[in-house]
Amino acid sequence: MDRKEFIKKSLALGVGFPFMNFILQSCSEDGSNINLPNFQTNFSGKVLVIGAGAAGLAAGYILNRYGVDFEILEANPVYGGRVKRDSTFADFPIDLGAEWIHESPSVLANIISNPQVNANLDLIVYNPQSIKTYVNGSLNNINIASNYYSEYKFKRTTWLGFFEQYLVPNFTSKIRLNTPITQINYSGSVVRATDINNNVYEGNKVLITVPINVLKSNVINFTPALSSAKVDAINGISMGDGIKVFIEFSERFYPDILLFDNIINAAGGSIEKTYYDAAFRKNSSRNILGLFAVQQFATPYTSLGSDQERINFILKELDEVFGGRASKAYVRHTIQNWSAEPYILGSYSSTFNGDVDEILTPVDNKVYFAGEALDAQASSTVHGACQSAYDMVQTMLTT
Amino acid sequence: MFSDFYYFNSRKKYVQIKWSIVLFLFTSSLLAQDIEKDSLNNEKFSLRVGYYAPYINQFGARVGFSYPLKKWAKENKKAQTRIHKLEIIPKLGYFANIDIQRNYFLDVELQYKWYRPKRKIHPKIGVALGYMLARQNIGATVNLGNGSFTFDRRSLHFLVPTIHLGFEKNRANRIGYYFSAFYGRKFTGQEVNSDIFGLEAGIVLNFSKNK
Repeated sequence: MDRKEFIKKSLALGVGFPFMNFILQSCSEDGSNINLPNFQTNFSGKVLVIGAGAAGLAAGYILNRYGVDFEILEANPVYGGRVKRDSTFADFPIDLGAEWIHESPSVLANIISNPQVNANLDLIVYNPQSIKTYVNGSLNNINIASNYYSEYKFKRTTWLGFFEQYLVPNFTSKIRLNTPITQINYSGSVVRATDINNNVYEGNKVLITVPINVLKSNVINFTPALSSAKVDAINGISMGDGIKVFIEFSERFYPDILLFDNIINAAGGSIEKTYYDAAFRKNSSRNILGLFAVQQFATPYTSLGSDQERINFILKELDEVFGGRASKAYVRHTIQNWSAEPYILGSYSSTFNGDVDEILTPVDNKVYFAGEALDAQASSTVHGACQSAYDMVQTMLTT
Repeated sequence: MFSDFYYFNSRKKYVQIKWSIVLFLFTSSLLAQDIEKDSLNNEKFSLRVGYYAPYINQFGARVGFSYPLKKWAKENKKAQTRIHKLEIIPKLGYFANIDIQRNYFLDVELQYKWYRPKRKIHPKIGVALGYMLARQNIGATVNLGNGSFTFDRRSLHFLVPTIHLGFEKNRANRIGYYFSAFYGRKFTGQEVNSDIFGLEAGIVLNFSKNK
């Protein structure tokens, strides 16, 4: 066989396949799923931003960059939304909400998009080594799965810490907390947002970044009412329950990740309930196990009446898997029930049966929507929420 | 760190015993063959260069030399002659999943193949024992100004027994090719053990005029 014949036969056998991985990885190296837009604007009015979660804060960041007058109205006593932190439970800060960085590390620089920032941030490569499944009463090792999954997490800070340090400092004074908006009236030349105490805030445009379940719950009434097409599109996005629980144990008896589904589904990324070592590569001396459950997998926990019932349920579940060791080693816990948060009402968007473009279409050039559910490329992620806000602010200021 | 996992110790012993039995049965059955002293003088060595795809999703390359150890012929009941050949193949390999780890692999494979003289393609089977150095990404530092990032790495050392199944065409010409699948297990005292499997395909450059 000569060289040409060999190459021809090799390609026929598909031996070029191994390089596919390299090609795919190379495509994602730059974290290109987010880009702070660069545009010219002559907008001189005021923008109201409803919600100070990731999208709302990102909107504030870009509005501030372009020198636009704005105010962020947040219902909760703290900003961050589903980006939330607990700094006291462990010897490292814990993300009670969004935790993983589902992109190349450079996505963090892309969110900031400021070459003048002279700072480095330490991350962990989240590549669990010991992986087990518990299916039909059987605990099995699937450590080989570590070759197929790797993401990033913050090492010494959290998503909220990232926002606090690099995005929010220049406009903290423009975030108004404890301001739940119940009414948005855009019938006149200005938009009026009314809060639960009947305080009225005026702007020329309003960007609504609240979670999709809050929109669906009609907590915010619009005058005039939104079109039926837009309401249908909003209702077409589902956002299920969500809960995160962190438990400290006196000994380590659990793997890096415990899944409750088979390896095929795990490889497909469909796992929405997992126990995981929250201290993985955090240089922690504590044994902190996390529970992450969303959508229908969270409901068995969120539907219970109290946190005590929830932790009892969880310890019973862990005892079944680990032969009673969880209850014996239990020290304490903290629970973040996202479904019970009145201005969140769940986890994050999951299925999209509605027309997202319909939601993104501005209403009378005064009412705009953004958020994690509305980014076509990276829905359900923090950087997707940021990108959605950046894109919508650009639309808002250039049309 | 993981010594208190359920079943871990018992499973470890089980796997070690399983591999010992496989190695013993395979090598002893080969060495027990009725060996004809054949023309090993004509059988020098061949160079193998190939794609190496552990876990299918990772890529790399492997280079090895095959040294013939024994060669014998046997006739079956239909008076058909079948050649049997035993080779030893030290190999150097590299494969990587850029986001996870880079691996350097040194192993020695004892390979057995058999063929009818007129058949060009023949099957092969082998067992190998190797050492693997994995440089694993455990942390990253990202520059928030320009997005560049560097990895912090650690070294993991593995002992890797594997079995190989495949086919080869390399006798009649100076250039042949091979294709094989392998399965094995990575043993280490630094982390949990895990399976390894993959595919390998490449060319064989013969440095002697084989028969």
